[in-house]
Amino acid sequence: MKLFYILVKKEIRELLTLQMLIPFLIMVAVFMVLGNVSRSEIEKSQQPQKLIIIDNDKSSESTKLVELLKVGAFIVSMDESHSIDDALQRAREQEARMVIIIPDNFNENLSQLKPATVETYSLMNSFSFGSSSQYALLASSMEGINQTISNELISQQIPSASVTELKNPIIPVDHVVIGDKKATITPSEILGYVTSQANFIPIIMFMVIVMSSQMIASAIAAEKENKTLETLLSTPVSRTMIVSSKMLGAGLVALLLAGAYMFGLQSYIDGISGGALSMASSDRLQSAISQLGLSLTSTDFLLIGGSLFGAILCALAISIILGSFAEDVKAVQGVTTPLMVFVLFSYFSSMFIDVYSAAPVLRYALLAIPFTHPFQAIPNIFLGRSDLVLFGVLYEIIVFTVFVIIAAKIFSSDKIFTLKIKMPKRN
Amino acid sequence: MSSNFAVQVNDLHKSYGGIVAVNSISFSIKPNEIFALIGPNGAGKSTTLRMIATLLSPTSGSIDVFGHDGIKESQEVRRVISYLPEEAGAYKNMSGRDYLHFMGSLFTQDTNQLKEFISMGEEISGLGDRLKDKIKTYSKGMTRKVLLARTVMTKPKLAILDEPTSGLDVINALEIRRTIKSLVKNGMTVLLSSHNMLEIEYLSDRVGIISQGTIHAIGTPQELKQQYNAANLEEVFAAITSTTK
Ligand SMILES: Nc1ncnc2c1ncn2[C@@H]1O[C@H](COP(=O)(O)OP(=O)(O)O)[C@@H](O)[C@H]1O
Ligand SMILES: [Mg+2]
Repeated sequence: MKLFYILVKKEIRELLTLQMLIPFLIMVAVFMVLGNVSRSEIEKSQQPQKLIIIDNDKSSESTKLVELLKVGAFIVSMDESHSIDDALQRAREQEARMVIIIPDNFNENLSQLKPATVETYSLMNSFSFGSSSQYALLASSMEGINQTISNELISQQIPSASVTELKNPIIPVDHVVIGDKKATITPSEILGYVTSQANFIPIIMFMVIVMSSQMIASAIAAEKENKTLETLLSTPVSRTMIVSSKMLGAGLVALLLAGAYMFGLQSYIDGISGGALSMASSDRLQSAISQLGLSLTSTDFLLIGGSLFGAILCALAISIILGSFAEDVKAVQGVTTPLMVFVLFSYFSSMFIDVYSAAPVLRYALLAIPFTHPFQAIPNIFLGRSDLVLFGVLYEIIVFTVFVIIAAKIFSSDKIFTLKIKMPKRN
Repeated sequence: MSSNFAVQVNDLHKSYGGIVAVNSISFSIKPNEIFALIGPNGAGKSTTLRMIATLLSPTSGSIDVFGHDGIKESQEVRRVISYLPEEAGAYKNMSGRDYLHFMGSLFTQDTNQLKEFISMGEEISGLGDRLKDKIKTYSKGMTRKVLLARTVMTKPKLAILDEPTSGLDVINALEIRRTIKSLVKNGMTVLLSSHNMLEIEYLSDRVGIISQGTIHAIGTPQELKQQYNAANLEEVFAAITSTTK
C-alpha cells in the first residue's frame, strides 16, 4: 500500500510539470480575465445613462414623460437649442449615448387618443456586448412608460374598467408533462433551466475524459522518452501496480486540471451573463422542477458519477495502450487522436441527437462507445430511465476490463518495448 | 538447476519481426564474477542483457538466474537483479537524492534498509552536495554515476550493466570501472557489456566475444590472448571475425 502511494505520488509529480501546466494555466487565466472584463463592461453599462432630451412640447404630458425617464436609470439633461445637430454635438461632448426628441404635438395627440411620436437618436461608438444592453435599457424603459401612459388613458376613458383585465383578456396557463409527472410552468422556463444545468456537466465530463487520456498517454510516453521505463520495469514492483498507479495518478491530475478549467470557464460565463446562472431561480420554477423530478437526488448523482468514473477508467485503459505506441511525449497527441474522435462523437451526439430514438445502426454504434453513457446519464435520469444509466455503467465496466487485460498483456510482455508506430528510422 | 552458477543461458534466440538479433547464445557466469559480453554495435549484447533482465522474452532458449527461471519466474528474478540500461535516463524533475530515494523504495519497504540503500547510493555516486540538485542540471557523467549508484545500492545478487562507461570521458569511465571492481569484493556478481575491448580486459574476469548475435569465444582475457596468440582483446576479436567470415 505504501509502495502504491509512492508510485502514485511520483506519477503526479512527473505529470504536474511546468511545461504541462503553463498552457493550461494560461487558458484558465484568459478565461478569468475575459470574464472579469465583460463583467466590468456590463456593470458600466448598468450605471445610469446620460440622456439628452429636446422637449418641443413643454406640456404637462411631456414633462411627465421626462419625469418617468428620470425615475428609470437615466441622468436626464434638457436641451434648449431645439436643434438636433446641436443636441448631438452636446451629446458627443458629454459622452451621452442618446438624444430624445419630444415633438410639439405630443400632448395634443395624446389627448385626442392618437399615437404620439418620440424620436430617439442612439450614438453608436461600439458594437460590444455591453453596449447592446444600454440600448435595450432605453427600449424597455420606453415600453414601460408606454404602458403607464396607456393605463392612465384607459382609466380616464373608461373609469369603470379594470385596466389589466381589459388589456389581457386571456390568461394562458402552461403545464409541462414529463413521463407521468405534471407541473404548471412554461416549457421554455424548463428548457432554460435544464440546459443551463446540463450544459456544464457535459463540458466537465468531456474535459475529464480527454485530460485523463492525455495524461496517462503522456505518463507512458515520458517514461519512454526519458529512458526510465526499462529501469522501472526491471524493478521487483509488479506490473499491475505500475499500471494501476499510473492510472490513478493520471486520473487525479486530470480531475484537478478539469476542476481548474471549470473554475475558469465558470468565471467567464458568470462574467458574460452577469452572474445570471448562479442566481437563485424563482420559487415557482423550483417547485415545478421538483414536481417534474428534474432535481437530482443523491442516488442520481451516484449514478452519474459512476457513469463518468466508468468512462474515465475506459479512457485510461485505452490510452495506456495508445500511449505504448508513442515513442515520446510529442507523439501523444497523434496516438490519442482515435480516442478523441470517439469522445467528441459521443459528446456532440448528446447535444444534437436523441440517441435512443436514432436509427438502429447509429444507436448501437453510439451506445457501443463507452463515452456515450455519461453524456446520456442526465437526460436519462430526468426522463426516468435510470435503468439505462445502470446498464451503461455495467457496459463501461466490461469495456474497461477488456482493455485493462490488453494493457496488462502489453505491459507484462515485451510488447511495451517493441510496439511502435512505423516512423522514419533514426540512428 | 545447479546452484554453482549465478547465471546460465542456454541456446538463446531472439528475433524482432524478421531481424535475428540473438542467434543461439549460451554462457554461464559464476557467482562473484565479472563477466563481460564484448562485441561491436548491433552484435546483440543489449538484446541478451534485456532478456536476462526479464524485459524481453526470448524467442527460444532458457535463462536461469540464481536458480530462478528467467521466463516463468521473472518476478523472482527481478528481486535478485538490478539492471542499468544502455541509454538509461532518470526522472528529470527529481533531484539525485529524490531519485535514489524513489528507486530504493521500490526495492524495500523497510525504512532502515531504505536509509542504508540511499547512503550507499550517495557514497557510490560520489556527487556529494550536487545530489540536492535536479537531475536535469547534471552532466552526462554525473547522471551515469547516479544511475550506476542506484543500480548497485540495493545490493542485488546480480548487477546487469549495459555499456556502463559508453560515452563518458576518461576520468568518469575510470571512476565507474573502479566502482564496479569494488562491488564484487562485496559479493556481487556483475554481467556487463561493452564495445570497448581494452577496458574490458582490465575490468572482467571472463569475457564472451559476440558478433552478429553469436558468441564466438569465451574465456579469461589471458586464455583468449594465448589461444589466438594476440597482444590484446582487440586483436583476439580481429582474429575471430576473420576466421568466421
Ligand atoms: N526494438 C528493436 N526492434 C527491431 N530491431 C531491434 C530492436 N532492438 C535491437 N534491434 C536489432 O537487433 C540487433 C542487435 O541489437 P542490440 O542487441 O541492441 O546490439 P548491441 O547492444 O550489441 O549494439 C541489431 O541489428 C538491432 O538493429
Ligand atoms: Mg547495445
